[in-house]
Amino acid sequence: MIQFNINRFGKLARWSLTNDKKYYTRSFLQVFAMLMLVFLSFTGIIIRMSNEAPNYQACGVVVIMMFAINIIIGPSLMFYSMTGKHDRQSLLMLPASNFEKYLMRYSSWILLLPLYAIAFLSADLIQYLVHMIMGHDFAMFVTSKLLDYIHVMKAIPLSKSNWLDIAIFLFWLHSLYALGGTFFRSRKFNWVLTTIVFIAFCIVCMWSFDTDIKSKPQTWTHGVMEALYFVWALVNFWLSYKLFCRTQVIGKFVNL
Amino acid sequence: MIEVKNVSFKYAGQKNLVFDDFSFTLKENNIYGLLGKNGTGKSTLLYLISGLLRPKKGTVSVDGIDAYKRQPEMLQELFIVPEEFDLPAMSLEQYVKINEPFYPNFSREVLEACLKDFDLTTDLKLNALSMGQKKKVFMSFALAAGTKLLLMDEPTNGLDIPSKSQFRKVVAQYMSEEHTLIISTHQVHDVEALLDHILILNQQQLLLDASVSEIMEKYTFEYRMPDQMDDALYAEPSLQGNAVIAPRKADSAETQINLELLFNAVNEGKI
Repeated sequence: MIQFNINRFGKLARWSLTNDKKYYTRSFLQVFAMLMLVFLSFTGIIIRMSNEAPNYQACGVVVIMMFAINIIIGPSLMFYSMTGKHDRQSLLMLPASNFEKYLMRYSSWILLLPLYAIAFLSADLIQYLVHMIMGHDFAMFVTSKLLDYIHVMKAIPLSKSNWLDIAIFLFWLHSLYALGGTFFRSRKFNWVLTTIVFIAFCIVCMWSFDTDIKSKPQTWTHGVMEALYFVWALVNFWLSYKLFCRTQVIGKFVNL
Repeated sequence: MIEVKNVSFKYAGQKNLVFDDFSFTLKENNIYGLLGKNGTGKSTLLYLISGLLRPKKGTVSVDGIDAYKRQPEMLQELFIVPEEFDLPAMSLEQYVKINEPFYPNFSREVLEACLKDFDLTTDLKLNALSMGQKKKVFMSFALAAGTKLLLMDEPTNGLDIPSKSQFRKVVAQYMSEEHTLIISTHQVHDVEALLDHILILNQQQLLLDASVSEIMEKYTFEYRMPDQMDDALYAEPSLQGNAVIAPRKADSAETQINLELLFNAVNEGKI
């Protein structure tokens, strides 16, 4: 039975945020440093080396990629702030339900998003100020380039159905990383393992799909496929939650 | 209160079962001493009771709730002090602030009193403490949590000699009647004065499950000379003569349990 109590979840959120403060600070600083390096490289160092124009477009692409990747693989980071058996033990013994604990762990990637946004805006501001101080005429904000991208995306000739396809596919992919995050929870780079499994799965699917096409007529309608992927994603989340419920404090590899 | 029923358990990747069809029941409001040699499954049993491990077969329930489900109602009445643990890098005040709300019977007065008895103050930075001090802080928090069931795994490991007696004092003082404490240890001398009930665990079985009063009623623990060994069930040579366990005669006075002697006698199958 799934138990959820908003009051208890509030206490758990406070507990988790206080315990994970160091992790969030470190993640913020890492992203801030990475973005600043990227921005200054693409807009400063590279032009000095090759006399090319500052590449704000590349900066925008990096930022979009960073957010997109974080949204997709985010759930696999749900145990990153916990180092080892003792942290797991503290979490598991806390008087809150498994569902509340899972939800709080899952939310860790969502909490990182505003921090990444602040890191991006700060890095952008710093690159702008650096160019201003150095007297570069081309100084501009990467943020403005990002806004341009939004206009470009709006202009992409995709139907609502195509956007829905993309959204469901990303949701499905996201759910796979949620499953991988709990399945490989005792591994440091569990997103890498999940990606490897995903690629292997794709190869197997492509191979079987290829033979299927030859042997069977394609009877699946588009809507059924969408529904199937959506349900599959929900099953992945359910499995991920169940794996979390079955977590034990001592175990090997997948730690079931 | 705690029911372990036909439990089988083994660690992943290991051939041998730690428990095979193992059963026992523990009643409320006692201080249990769970004794056993290294590797007999004492810690595993505590982890099974707390729900940190799940049996392969059988059930472990606390107040009728399956422990492996780790329901909040069970967890708010259960606290485990593992042999090894880590405290987060924060002040004690902050630690208490974020953990206290989960335990409805938490008492700041008990926490402060326990810390005082352990010669510690309340303005501590948890990451600046030695392992022994961390243990004292964690045990103080555990007692202050006021849970019905408290599990301690090797609580005196890492404590210096004065701290061991402080530990006994603190437990005796703050473990009230309506609480149950299970102390798992192989350092029997450290806890023998505290216990109400003794459980001696050996490979996959409970060799002894008896209250201290039952043991004291049945046996006498004394030092004897070699010519007084007629009725001795078990004896070990010592500086004061032979340490002996013998059946207690109806008219003789009760003697203090020698837990180490009892433990050895039980393990050798003499009792």
